[in-house]
Amino acid sequence: MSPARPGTDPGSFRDPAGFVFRRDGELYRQVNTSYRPAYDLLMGSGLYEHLTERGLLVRHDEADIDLASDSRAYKIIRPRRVEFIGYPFEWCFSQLQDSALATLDIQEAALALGMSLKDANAGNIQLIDGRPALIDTLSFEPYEEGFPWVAYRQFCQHFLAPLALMSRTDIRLGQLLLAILDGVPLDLAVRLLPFRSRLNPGLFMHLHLHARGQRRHMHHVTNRESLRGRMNLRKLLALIGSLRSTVRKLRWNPGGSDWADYYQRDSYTGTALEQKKKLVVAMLAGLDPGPVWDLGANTGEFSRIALARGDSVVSLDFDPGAVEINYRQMTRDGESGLFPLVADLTNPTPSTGWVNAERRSLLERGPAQTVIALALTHHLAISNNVPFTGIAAFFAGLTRHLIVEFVPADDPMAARLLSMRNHDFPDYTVEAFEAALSAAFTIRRREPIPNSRRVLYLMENGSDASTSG
Amino acid sequence: MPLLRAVLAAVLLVVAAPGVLRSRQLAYIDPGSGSFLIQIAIATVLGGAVMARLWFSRIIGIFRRTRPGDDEPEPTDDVESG
Repeated sequence: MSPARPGTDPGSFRDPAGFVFRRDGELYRQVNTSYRPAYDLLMGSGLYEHLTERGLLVRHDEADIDLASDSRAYKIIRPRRVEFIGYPFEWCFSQLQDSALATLDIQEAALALGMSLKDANAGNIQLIDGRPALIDTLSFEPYEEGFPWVAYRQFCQHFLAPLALMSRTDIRLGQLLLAILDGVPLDLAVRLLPFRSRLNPGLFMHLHLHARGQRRHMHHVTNRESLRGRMNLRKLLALIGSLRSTVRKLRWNPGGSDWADYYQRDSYTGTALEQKKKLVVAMLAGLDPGPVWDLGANTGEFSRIALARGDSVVSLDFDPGAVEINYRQMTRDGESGLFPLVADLTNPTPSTGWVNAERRSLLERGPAQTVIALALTHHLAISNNVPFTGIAAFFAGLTRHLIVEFVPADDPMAARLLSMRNHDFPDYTVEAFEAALSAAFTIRRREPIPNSRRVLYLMENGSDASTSG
Repeated sequence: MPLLRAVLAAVLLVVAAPGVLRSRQLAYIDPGSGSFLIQIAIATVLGGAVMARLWFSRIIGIFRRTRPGDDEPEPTDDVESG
């Protein structure tokens, strides 16, 4: 293995077919000579055109070969930019399910044109134009008749097992994908699934029997050639069909989720909410929002206001139910540029994988140009004891423009949080909030929200406006 | 019904799988060996089920055609499991 060249994506080293690198801020992918037959087949068989037209594969241009990082290069390609990379443990149930179905659609299309997916890594599927698409152009290999699908185990670990666990056991088990890079081990999955999951034929075969087969053959040595002829295209398509049917029939609904109906039961009167929306629209109108992060986005109502300004919006909430509703609305309305993700801001995604660099932390995927933080700071300050200075530092490292709401202690929502605590919060005042935020930001606008006791601010990074930017 | 299908799948696997699961030739240690082998077994069963349904519907089709005036299409089942 050659040492990584400067600019090489630290998460792109496993596949000998090529790797991703950056040059002058632009993202490229090197296709190595060893992958030439597969790349030529992808481009020449019509598979690339077919998949890109269906929105299932990222488009790319071929770039100057002189950009090559080393002598192994056959081609340099420049993939279309993906606005935001979200990781599978940050996705809601439906996004993981749609990504699984997209993977199976891609595999079926590939098989029809003489190719096959050589991996089924969930992280290779990302939202492009609001739909899940494969971003790793080098994930294909020529289909060799007679052999099993090499990515079957990975598909079950990355998609089917977490989906089954989220659907049949607990939605929070999607977080296992954060702890285990290569998907949920099947022996663990079947231990966590309820017994009745065995009554589902698909789960019984692809998880329970599969796990048993893995255990039984754990120490067995198998010659790949000995498997030749045991599989054929008909069997493989039946397997794909079974996986698709199993995935499609899994369900999860956010009915009982914490904040799923937040807007129906918060302290706002309808008038105050409308006033707040108008203020946010006005604040956004006065600036170039750029990439927006909506922190504590709930079901994405204000994310959509920001999206109307034409920029991408990362819509973060810690409640999987709220993110599920957000995602479903996005797919139903065909929205593009919105990224509804599950994230706990008090414990954001860390860097993981090899040398802690394969998957980037949430904050490394910033900064945003604009952060919207509505009805959030009282949760950070009261529920999580984060001091205002800490909140200010967090925002300052993340954004240039900040639209933030202060919820006073006598607001019904803040009062509810305070009533559950036997600890006093004497510093929880609007004056202390403004003083802490002013150390990092210049307050551009301060707008009391009519018919409420809350205050909305537009701030700019830098305690002196001349240093902002 | 799902229980019946699960039992049927298990029976078919027990019948169809042993030949596949006995592969133990020495070459290299593959951590996915079990997955490969169980995949072949499952796909064999599923592929067989698809073929069986196809033949069944053809046979039914022959009898249907012999009944004059009965030209309604046979409702197709979801051949996929799960």
